[in-house]
Amino acid sequence: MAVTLNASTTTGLVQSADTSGSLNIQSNGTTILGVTSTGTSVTGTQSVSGNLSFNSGYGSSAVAYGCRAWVNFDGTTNTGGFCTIRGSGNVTSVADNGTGDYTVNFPAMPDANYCVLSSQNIQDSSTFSQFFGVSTTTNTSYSLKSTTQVRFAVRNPVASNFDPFDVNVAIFR
Amino acid sequence: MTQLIIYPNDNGGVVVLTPAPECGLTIEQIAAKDVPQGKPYKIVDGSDIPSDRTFRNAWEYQE
Repeated sequence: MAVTLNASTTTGLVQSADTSGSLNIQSNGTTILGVTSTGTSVTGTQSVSGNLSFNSGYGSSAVAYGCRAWVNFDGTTNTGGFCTIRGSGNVTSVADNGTGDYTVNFPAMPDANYCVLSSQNIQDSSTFSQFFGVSTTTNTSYSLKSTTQVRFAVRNPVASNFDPFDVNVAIFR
Repeated sequence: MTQLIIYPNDNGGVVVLTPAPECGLTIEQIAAKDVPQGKPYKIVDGSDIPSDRTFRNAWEYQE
């Protein structure tokens, strides 16, 4: 039990109280914010207009910067011959431009000054992969880095594109 | 079966666009957003795409 404040859609404010030391803020009977002696719990979508700070082992509460878009996909031959997206967040599509040549599309970022991180897992122990070409000036084919797209290539040590089994891309801003 | 979007690239080849299933957009909305402006495109079934990628860069877009 807890002290409860409920914004009811039929009767307005509904409140109850006890001596548990806990507080629940409800929307039409659903608890959105719970407060106890050990902390708070929040459900539903949260919107923070300021910076989001937390400790979580950092040593003190500090501003954290979240991943704005991510995707994991299969770049190899598969049942359809296209990129199978295993999981994603805030990504709209992945373009297979050719062997080892991909574009990740996402909703607009505030600018193109974001950080792109990627890793690839291949199924050939004799080869290692190289994430190549975001905004490089040496190969303009892979120079697409805009507010909504980033294009890149995956290459082997002899500079040939190849299709990795596991491609991971994350964008931080 | 998965629906895909194909469109020609600038080198005579073809781009195969895979929609992210969790993005909340329809395939038509994804095409409007992610296919370069002015490019023709088709929505195709995944089974229409060759599974052999040996000559992937030789694939061509046909109207």
